[in-house]
Amino acid sequence: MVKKVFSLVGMIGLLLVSTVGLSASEPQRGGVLRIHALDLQNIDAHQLLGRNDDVSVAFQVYDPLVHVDSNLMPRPGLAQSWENTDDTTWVFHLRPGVTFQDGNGVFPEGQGREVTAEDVVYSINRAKEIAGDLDLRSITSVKALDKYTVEIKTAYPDAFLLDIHHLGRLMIVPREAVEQMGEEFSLRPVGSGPFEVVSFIPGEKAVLRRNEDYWLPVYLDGVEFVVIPDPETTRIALETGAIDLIWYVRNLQTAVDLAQEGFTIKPMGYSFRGIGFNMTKPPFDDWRVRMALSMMLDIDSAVKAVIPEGFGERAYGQVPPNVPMGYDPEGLRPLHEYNPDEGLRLLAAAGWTDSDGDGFLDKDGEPLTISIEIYPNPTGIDVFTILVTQLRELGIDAHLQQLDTSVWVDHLLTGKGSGIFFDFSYAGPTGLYSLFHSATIGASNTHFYSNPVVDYLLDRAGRTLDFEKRSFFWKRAQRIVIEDRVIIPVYFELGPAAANPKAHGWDASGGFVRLVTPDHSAWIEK
Amino acid sequence: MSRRRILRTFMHNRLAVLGLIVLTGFVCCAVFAQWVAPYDPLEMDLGNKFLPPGSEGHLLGTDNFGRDFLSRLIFGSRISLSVGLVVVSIAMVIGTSLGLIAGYFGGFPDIVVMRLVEIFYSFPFLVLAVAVMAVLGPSLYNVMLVLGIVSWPIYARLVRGQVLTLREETFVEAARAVGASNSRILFRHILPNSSSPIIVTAAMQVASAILSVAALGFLGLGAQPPTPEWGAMLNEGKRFMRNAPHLITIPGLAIMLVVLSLNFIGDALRDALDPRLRGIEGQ
Amino acid sequence: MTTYLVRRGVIALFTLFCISFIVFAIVSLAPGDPIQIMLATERITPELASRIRTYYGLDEPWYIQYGIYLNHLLHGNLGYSLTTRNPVAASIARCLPNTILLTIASMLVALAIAIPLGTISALRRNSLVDYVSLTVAMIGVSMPNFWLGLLLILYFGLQLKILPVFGIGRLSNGLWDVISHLILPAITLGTSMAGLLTRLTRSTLLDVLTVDYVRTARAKGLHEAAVIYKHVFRNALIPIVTVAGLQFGALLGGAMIVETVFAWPGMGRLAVQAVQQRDYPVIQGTTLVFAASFMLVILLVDLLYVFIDPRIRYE
Repeated sequence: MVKKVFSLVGMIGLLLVSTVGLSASEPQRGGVLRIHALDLQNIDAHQLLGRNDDVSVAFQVYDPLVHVDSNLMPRPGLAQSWENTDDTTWVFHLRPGVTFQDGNGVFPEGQGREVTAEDVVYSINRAKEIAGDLDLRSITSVKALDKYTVEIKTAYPDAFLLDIHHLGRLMIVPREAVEQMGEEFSLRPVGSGPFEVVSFIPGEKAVLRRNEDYWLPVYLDGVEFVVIPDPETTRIALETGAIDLIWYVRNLQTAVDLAQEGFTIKPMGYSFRGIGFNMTKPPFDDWRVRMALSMMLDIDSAVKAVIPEGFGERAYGQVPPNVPMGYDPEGLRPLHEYNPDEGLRLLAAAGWTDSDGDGFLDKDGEPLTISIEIYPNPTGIDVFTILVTQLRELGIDAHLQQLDTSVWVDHLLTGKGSGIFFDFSYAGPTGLYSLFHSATIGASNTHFYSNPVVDYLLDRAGRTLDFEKRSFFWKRAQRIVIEDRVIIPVYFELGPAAANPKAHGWDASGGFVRLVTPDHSAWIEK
Repeated sequence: MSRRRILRTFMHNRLAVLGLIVLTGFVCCAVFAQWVAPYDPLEMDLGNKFLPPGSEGHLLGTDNFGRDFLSRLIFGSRISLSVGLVVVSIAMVIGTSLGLIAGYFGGFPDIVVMRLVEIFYSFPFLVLAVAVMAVLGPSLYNVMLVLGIVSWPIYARLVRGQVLTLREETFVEAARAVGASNSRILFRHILPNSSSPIIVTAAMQVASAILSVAALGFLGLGAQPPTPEWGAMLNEGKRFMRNAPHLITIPGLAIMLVVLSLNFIGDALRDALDPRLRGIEGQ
Repeated sequence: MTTYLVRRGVIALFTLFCISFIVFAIVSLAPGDPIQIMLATERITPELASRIRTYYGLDEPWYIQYGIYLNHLLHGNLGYSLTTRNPVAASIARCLPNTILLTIASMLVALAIAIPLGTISALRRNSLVDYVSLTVAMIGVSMPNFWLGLLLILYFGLQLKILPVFGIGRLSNGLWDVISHLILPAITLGTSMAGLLTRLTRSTLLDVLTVDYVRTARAKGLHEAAVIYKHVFRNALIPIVTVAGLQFGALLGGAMIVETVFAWPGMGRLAVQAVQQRDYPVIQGTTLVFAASFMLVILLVDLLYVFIDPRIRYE
């Protein structure tokens, strides 16, 4: 695992300039950090529904039960420590002396109430009710054992309980505020986090100021999140100093340019991108077709042509580099071979030849038409345009089909589309489960893939609390998925964050902006 | 109205002649693209990305995939021009007819047509486009359909407004007194006098049709990659605005040239067809 | 006149209903719903998904859903966004004034360009001035909005640093805050509309300039300006007002691209995002507001006709 962290650092280090923690200067107090957002709508801790910008704001306003670091491993948050008294029982010990923000309509100045185990119980129960983006289904009971101790029981040994999609993002809210404020709680919530809400205009901006009573040092006077939908305008805003941080620069060329202009570039998080198949849809129900396609694509050159050095890498599996559990390039690389002739031979064996001499393969009078369905995203489109052109040169009638995101999703979920699509998954250990377990067919398993062996391995992994054993099952499952050619992995995109070089101590890995954690606290150089 | 007279008045307008030449040039590109274009517009040359205009072998440079930009522009004219012209023709015919009827007959036909105008025009174009394309699929045909749907109302309104004024004019009353039929009045008297706003609007709408395809490209609808189409090229160029501005400026200039040409031609046509201006040179 | 207005009002309500119904039908036919996206991107558990579905009646056939919506509407309830859970009425109340502000400003810019340029062109027909002003007007129309917008931002925001790069100004921060944020987007939108208006002004003025009664007025010895104003202008106004009205209505319909580029929190973006996400309550709400404001504008334009040309009558 240490080796993996080192290789990750090595990869990033080449072109990316990182200043967190390496800066020798002392943090300075003062200043307002202005952060870019694509949209801001609702910052009720349990109605975030995965909207990344709202989640970023939430991280400033509330405290999570545990923090999740850039390797997606849990770290102390509101909970100082925890242990398993048995496989299905977790006991969390809360940090004493943490208070909810005061000076608002719920807690008058100086009367911020201390956060207790009861608050955690309340929050978890509320989240189970309405927070769709936190998977808390395995939790069967939550109890406050005493003022600072919480006991959670699960239905089965849940290895992912503290993962970023489970308790790893659970924010603690005060019952009084929720009950008193009603709908207002979505716009001006009260939490125990490092910053208090001053104002919030959906679609425009969120203004926060330092919580003077926070249990960690807070150097910034305030934080502002500003909505700028257009990527070029966003870039100009950073260049003029109107904003200080873009936590996800979607256009890689822009990130390269900004790096050259002297802005700080740091990794935001890895995402898997590839070609996915609907296993029930001809011709992709034939393993030979899937295997042939995977051999006919020169993925290395496509990725190299589009993705600048240091901003991503060729993918051989689904688990991205920053997830220690399951990242397995050495094991999976031998499974991928670029051999167009062999691919054509396989297709011929499956009945696809150019019988009418028009330059394109066909069978029984029907051409082999491949229409890869993709939603608008520049990097993906660039890479896939090259892939599609490669296929056309080899005699396959291939093209990209850009779809409205909703339509693209609908095709995937209902199986109505062409059967081949731009596949993706956000970073996270549970990716394999979401994409390939038969239980999620009709939801995130858009491949309609059902393999009992894979199911078994994924289930075992999910219930094994020991890291090494879990990793082993996970890798085996991934290997089988690749051998079955359910997907053709193409690349891991390293989303870059760009910032004013005077801003330090911030972290965007994991897909959200974190300014104040036990490991670092953001500050601005004067 | 003798043909020769019209032609002569037209030819007097030097800008219009220039416009005609330019437009013909583009139309030739569109029709004879395969022979005019030096390269295959889809052929990638990943070692030669972002070459600026004037580079060796590439008169207009290359794009982010190393594809020859001149060739893409030439092939793009085919799609963009057809979209523009088809949409506007359909919209103009439908809109003008309805507008004539509404303005001239008034009463119930007016109410019906105006309600239709309101309904069709009240749909925000992009919203309607997204919805229609979600249902029918994102193809250029559907783009033309949607554009046609939202484009005709403006003609109807314009023509109706003109007709409302004109029908009170003395020459119309005179024609009626002489016993001319309604259709004769409409087509021989009222329509020619309403023609100038129609022609002007039509010329502008070709531009807006092409730009609407670009707007749809903003949302990922419209022409699909790797199809060369001016609107799509504009959108793809936006991402590289700071590094390779020629990717945006060149399609933009092409659109501008087409629009200018159409407008000058439209103006000259209007002058030539207007019975009151025939034979009048200058002011 | 009152009967006319009342009749228009009733028809307007009927039209609103039609529009709302058609939009709802089309969007319902479109594949995908907001819950699906959340399911596919792991932002929602299947249990919560089915609960939301039942609560909002998303599994019912679309005409029943529409009926439920109408029922709520008649009680003054515009519903809640399916994706953000915010009340639709609040979102619209926030975005609409911003859009109106931008629309009015853009229209002023467009008219400020179009009428002078168009008039000069018409009076000096076929001269160099004519050609130049026509070309200038045309440039605005043939350039994509976002290109002009970004160029302006690059120059005035990044290069000269005298104007803000994005966003909307607040009156609480002073008048200059509002104006400085308004300038660039208004110019962007205004110039794209000015092209058509300029050409229209020019051509209708030309039409009218040669008409008999103008010649008669001139013959009578009337001062040139009086001729232009009294006869020429008022007749030329009809098509200009028509198109300006239509464009105003269209602008209210949302200048989505300009709003996106300038981060202007207006109705355009709200509406398009809603359609993309199949957020039915928001789609319905925005469509109703667009349609209503558009019809209001048309009504005003029609009334304006009567002012301009007294011969026009409405029975």
